[in-house]
Amino acid sequence: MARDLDIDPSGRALDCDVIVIGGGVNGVGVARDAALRGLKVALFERNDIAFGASGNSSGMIHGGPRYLTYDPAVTQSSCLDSGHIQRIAPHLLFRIPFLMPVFGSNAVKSKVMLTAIDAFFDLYDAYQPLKAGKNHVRLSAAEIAELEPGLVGGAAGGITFDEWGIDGARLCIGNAVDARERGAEIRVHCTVTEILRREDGSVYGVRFRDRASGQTGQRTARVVVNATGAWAPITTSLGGLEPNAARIRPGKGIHVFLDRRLTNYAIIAHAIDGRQVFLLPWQNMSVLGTTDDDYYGDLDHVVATSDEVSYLFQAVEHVFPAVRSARAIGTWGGVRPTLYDWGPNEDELSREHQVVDHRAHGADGLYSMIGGKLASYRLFAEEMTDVIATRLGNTSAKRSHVSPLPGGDEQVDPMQLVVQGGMEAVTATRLEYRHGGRSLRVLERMLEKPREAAVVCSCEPVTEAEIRYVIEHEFAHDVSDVARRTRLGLGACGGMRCALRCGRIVADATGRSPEVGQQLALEFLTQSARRRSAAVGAAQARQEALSLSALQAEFGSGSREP
Amino acid sequence: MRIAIIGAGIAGAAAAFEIARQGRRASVFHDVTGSSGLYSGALDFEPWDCADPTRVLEPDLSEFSKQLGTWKLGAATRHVATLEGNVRPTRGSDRALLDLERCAGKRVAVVDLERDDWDAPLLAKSFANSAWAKQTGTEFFALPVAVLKKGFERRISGFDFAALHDAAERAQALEAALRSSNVRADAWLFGPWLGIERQLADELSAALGVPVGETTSAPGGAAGARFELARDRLMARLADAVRGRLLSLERVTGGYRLHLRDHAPLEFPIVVLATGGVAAGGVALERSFERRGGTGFRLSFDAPIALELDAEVVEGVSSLANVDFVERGLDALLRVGIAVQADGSLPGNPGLFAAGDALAGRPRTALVAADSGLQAARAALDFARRLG
Repeated sequence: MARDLDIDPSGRALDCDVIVIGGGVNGVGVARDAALRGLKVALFERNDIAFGASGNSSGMIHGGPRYLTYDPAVTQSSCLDSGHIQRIAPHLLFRIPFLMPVFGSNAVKSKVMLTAIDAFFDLYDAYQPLKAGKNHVRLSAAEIAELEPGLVGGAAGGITFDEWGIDGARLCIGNAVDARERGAEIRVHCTVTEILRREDGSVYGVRFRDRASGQTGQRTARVVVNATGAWAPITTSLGGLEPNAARIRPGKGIHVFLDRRLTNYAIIAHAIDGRQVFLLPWQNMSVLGTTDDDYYGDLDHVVATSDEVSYLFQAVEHVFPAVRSARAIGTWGGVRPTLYDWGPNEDELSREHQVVDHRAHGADGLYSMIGGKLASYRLFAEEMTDVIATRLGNTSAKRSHVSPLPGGDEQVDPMQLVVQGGMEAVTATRLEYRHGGRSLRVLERMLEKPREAAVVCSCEPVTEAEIRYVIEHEFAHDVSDVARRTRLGLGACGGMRCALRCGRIVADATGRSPEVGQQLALEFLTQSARRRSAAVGAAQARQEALSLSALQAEFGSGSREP
Repeated sequence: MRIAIIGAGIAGAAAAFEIARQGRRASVFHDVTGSSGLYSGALDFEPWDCADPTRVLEPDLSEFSKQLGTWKLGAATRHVATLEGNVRPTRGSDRALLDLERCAGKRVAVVDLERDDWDAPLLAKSFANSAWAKQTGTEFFALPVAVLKKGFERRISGFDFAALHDAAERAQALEAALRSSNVRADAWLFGPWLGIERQLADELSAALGVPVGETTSAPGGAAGARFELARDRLMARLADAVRGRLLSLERVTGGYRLHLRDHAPLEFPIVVLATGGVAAGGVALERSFERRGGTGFRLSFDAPIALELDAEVVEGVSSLANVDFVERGLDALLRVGIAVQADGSLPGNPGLFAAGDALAGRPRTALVAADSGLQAARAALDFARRLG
């Protein structure tokens, strides 16, 4: 057994212990945990870290009260892990208080409903201490009107409860950076083209192709982990396995994001089909979500449709009419890799996760991670790493719940950045949010090169120093990568004022020509315009037309665009 | 025969000019800044990568440009530097833009100052990398110049920064700063900051004996502000210009009744609509839940005029949701507008004409706007003559 495990078919020693395919939250979580336990790791990501569901989720580390009735184990583990994530990355979490108003024409019925919800949240409160959450509060109609004046009148009362928000992409980046600093090799924009198997069917590595350079290569390892989320069936087929070996039920979810925070609370509303949707204040904008529909399209190009957008607007305008005049500045689309089941509605599918050992399919050494959610990624990664550790005889202690993520080990007062770096307070606060203690490293750059203190994206805002920092230390190769890490260009102007500047910086920092920089910026602008186009309404149309005209003055008809 | 022009962007101003040139005086009603006040300062007929450089400028257009006073519009195509590091051909431009033809084969200093919206070293690299710079052997290099007087100038808007240079002492300080440079420069390229009222680019060029000028402007920058100023002066001379927002246009016997905010209703036998497209706010988009009875595009005022997109009427689209931009492409926003005949008249609406970005399916460029304004004015005058 040991002989087989440690050499490739030609008798050479294997390059590493674990290869992880996929740079979503599960993949980077496993890479980090395995690296923490001293294993030698290589991770391959076809697009960018957090490109798929992880970077396009609702951005919450929630305790999952939704699952309490039919999957309380998910609620329990989510709450527990929410607490762990707070400890390892305190800078990344922000409180989102939810408000669930109860409407109804029948006063008695509404009161019964309210009492039932109240009782339900009594149950949920039992889990709140696990994640430093506050207990729920039952509110009267008058209190609701005072706390959230934008809500339509007529609520019989309501409930507030407490959740945590997070920037999912930053969480993934933190894990990937930590893994690399602990010796893991992280390859982004590098796709696995084949999972290598020995004659006996066991897996010993992967072949890959760098999508930017076209360079191909091979890495061998004792274990290969398929953490590719919705891509999981496609990935297993790269090893000659039936796609059904890692079966998921792909559920597309979209979000619309709106300019500014429109509400004090995250508002829960019911859609036309009875599903719960929400409008939540998230970072410096509002997020309207979400849908859950079976999806069979291209996973590299998941884009919201006008139908999905209309469905969400229609649901929320019932209770919060001002959403109609809000400016939709973008959409997210992601595909959940839900556990496979034939029959149930999308919403009723289990949010549990499981590790598939492909020894059952004749591919010893290959594992697939199926299901799961952002909130419990760490636990899932730990379970996967436990399986690997057992297999490889590694007995190191588990530390992923106590070892801080990069920037999570040191508290920085944003005012320090203001005083020392001359940053504006909002710039400093946002920088500190994204980088925690490591914002000091960005500050250092600015002090060394004052030119880099320039605010490139004024909507977010993002400085040149931060852009260069994420290129040098966080695997960013193009403008979209920078946007994912810093939120550059995702604000009200849609990148009109910053994307091209960012492209020049990316090109300069990576030794490419200014032309390439423009190309990268145009790719970003084209993709984000495409994502916005399903949600363009009255308030955004003029901005879109203006951006297009400005681009035309700069580049001509657009025939040079990709 | 009185003629009303609604809108005083490039198209409306050109229409008023033409009507004045033919010996009449139009009433011009205009409200807020449209797309002309937000333009880049470059003057094109077509998007510049598919422009026909041999297209002849008609004399009236040249005359309009001259009378406006803020444009340079010559017979030949020339090159300008853009705010994002491109060198592009153009038929003409705001007069403050640096005419790169005068700098071919020379050393152009890109003024390096610590403005947040300006990165001289990377811009210089980008200009130097352009096909034009390589063909002509023109060098671009960043040259630090102490221009910022106070810390806040780093972050104020480009327009505000340009306006600072209207002050005489600022202009003198700028000249002194350029003179004191000990690096040889054959030309100086600034961002769009060389004054709004003051023709500082011309002043500095004359004082230093080398070309000094700007890049193009971002939306809301100096070039658009200079157009508006020049337009206001032109309108004061040639037309009766009044601030007022058009709320609705109603067809009545012998003409049109205009309902303007804060005005009593006015009637005109002839109306030229130069109300702009989506970028100007002249055409609005509404989602199904935003308005009852009709979704999609509509004019920003009530009028019995249907809008067209790709030769198809789009007012009240047969969709429960919206105009589907995933299907149509976002640039549908630049194609939608009023359908007109070749002369700018609206079929079925005698005496009604349209020009500029309000027109369906025309390039959203400054010279098309000006040209269509001239044409609509001529058609309106013909109509007036026919009526007697």
